[in-house]
Amino acid sequence: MDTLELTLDHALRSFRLSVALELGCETLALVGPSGAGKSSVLRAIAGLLRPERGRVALGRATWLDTDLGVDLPPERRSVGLVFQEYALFPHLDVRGNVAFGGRGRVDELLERFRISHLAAARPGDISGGERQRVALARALARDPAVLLLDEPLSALDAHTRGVVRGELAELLAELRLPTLLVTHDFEDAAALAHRVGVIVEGRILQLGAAAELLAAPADGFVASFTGANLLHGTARSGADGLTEVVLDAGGSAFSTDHAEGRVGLAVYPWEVALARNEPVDSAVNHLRGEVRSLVALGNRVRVRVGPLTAEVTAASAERLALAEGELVVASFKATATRLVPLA
Amino acid sequence: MRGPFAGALAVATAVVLAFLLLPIVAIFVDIPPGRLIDGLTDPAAVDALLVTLKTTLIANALILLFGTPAAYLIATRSFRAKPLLVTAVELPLVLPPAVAGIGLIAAFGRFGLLGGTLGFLGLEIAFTQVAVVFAVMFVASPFYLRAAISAFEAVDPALTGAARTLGAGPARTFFRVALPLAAGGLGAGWALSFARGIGEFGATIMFAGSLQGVTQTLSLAVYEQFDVDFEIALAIGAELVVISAFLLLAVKLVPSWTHSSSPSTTLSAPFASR
Repeated sequence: MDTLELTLDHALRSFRLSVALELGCETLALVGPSGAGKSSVLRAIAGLLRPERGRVALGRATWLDTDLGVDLPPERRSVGLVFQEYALFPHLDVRGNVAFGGRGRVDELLERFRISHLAAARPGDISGGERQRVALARALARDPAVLLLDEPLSALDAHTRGVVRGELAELLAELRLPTLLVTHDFEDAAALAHRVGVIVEGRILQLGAAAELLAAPADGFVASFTGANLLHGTARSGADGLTEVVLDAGGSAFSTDHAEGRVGLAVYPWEVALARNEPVDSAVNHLRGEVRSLVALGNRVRVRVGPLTAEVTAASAERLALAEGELVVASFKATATRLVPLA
Repeated sequence: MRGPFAGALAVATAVVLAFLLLPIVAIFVDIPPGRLIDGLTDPAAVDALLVTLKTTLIANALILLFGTPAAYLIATRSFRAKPLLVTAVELPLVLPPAVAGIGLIAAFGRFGLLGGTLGFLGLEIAFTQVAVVFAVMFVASPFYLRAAISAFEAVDPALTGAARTLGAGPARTFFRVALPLAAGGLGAGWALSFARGIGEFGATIMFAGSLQGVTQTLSLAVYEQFDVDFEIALAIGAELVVISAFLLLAVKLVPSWTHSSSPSTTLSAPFASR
């Protein structure tokens, strides 16, 4: 299998898109807020956007090289692009949509994506999850060498989303194609991709396995984007070789990371424990605060305590009889506290 | 909602409807239906119908053939002079018909801008059927172009982009995706342009004259016969009402994939020569 290489430099509305990536037979997710330039990367690879400068090559085939004046039209690039809202042709039925990409494997693809029974239906008459399967089948009908997915799950409701995410992960593992997917949801990225790149304002801030990003976020933006609590403060050397951070919100906390001056203190919600009274345990950091909100997420509860969000099991929340307005103590270990430069 | 205000609304509506419908109804009830049919078989009426059919069909075929690709190009490219170009295309819509007529003479007449060149080639346009076709195309094509441009603009670029990434070249993308999706708007625009062409009067009479069997269209025949035989004029008028009503219905009923995009289904632009 060939490697997809790309370098892009292109002025977007309010910033420059400047990206260099290389991907083999893997799924790479670009994750970032909307308007970060994610879709432009996909469009440039597919040939729907011509960057001011750049190079896109798959193995020995060069699709774009602005220096050499090479720019293949989209129909001559072997890509399967799944659009954000799927962009199914409303005037063609499901079979017509899939056949548009290539007639050879239509029946096989309809079968594989469990949409044979919808062959004669119009895209407007089927569900979001079904539309997504049609869009994938259509993109694969051309037998592409590269798969590009633009927010593949964002058009789905929360219930369908989880199921489709699982199916998509299986499909990608099976296809073993260089796959670039963009999403604004870090969880989706972590669930689907081998490597995740956090992109903001046209730049990739950090690229690595999802676990690496969580363990060592490169800066405050990456930390908060991956779901961490981010508290601003000023760091200085403290007792016992720890770093003490005087928090802007009041109080202070300790970390095993070394830093000096303005920093972001990042701690993931699942690293925060809650108690009624200050516990006697190994955690160094204890913040007393009022419970501001409780949101149940299946078997977990997200609890806002002062400036922090903690994630505890539903059972623990019940045992502690947590309720809005009550005082609790949030504890987290200095070893689970990351200090990151502010973005 | 009862009271003086509601009453005033009802009265205003009744006045408007009566005023607009009375002349149309009058055409049909002024003479008995039998005489109306007789009027239509008069040679002048038959000739006018044939001239109108021939010139309108040729003009509309040319409008579709050249207008559709031109509209697609204008709609899908973004360039600085685009608003200017669209305005230029729309200008004949608001031009008084007499100005259109004099413009056509100044361009294609014997002593016009291209008259010398055309004359050298042995082509004479003014006062021929070609002149009728030219006049119809000049006043009617902007209706189609304007509607076609907005219909193509309303096609989601993601759909044409999807077609390209699925291996379709620009031509296949146009015929398989853009054209079917814009069909509703194109049909509506074409019906408007067709209706405008059928009703064309001012530019035609100046540039093509009103020679029975050659350049005299139905609209011109109504005017000519009005002096000669009022009943024939009424009969031709009735014929035009039926054709126009049919076209209006077609505009309203034309199916559209792009629900919101069907451009101006009302006859909003000036029909100056009616």
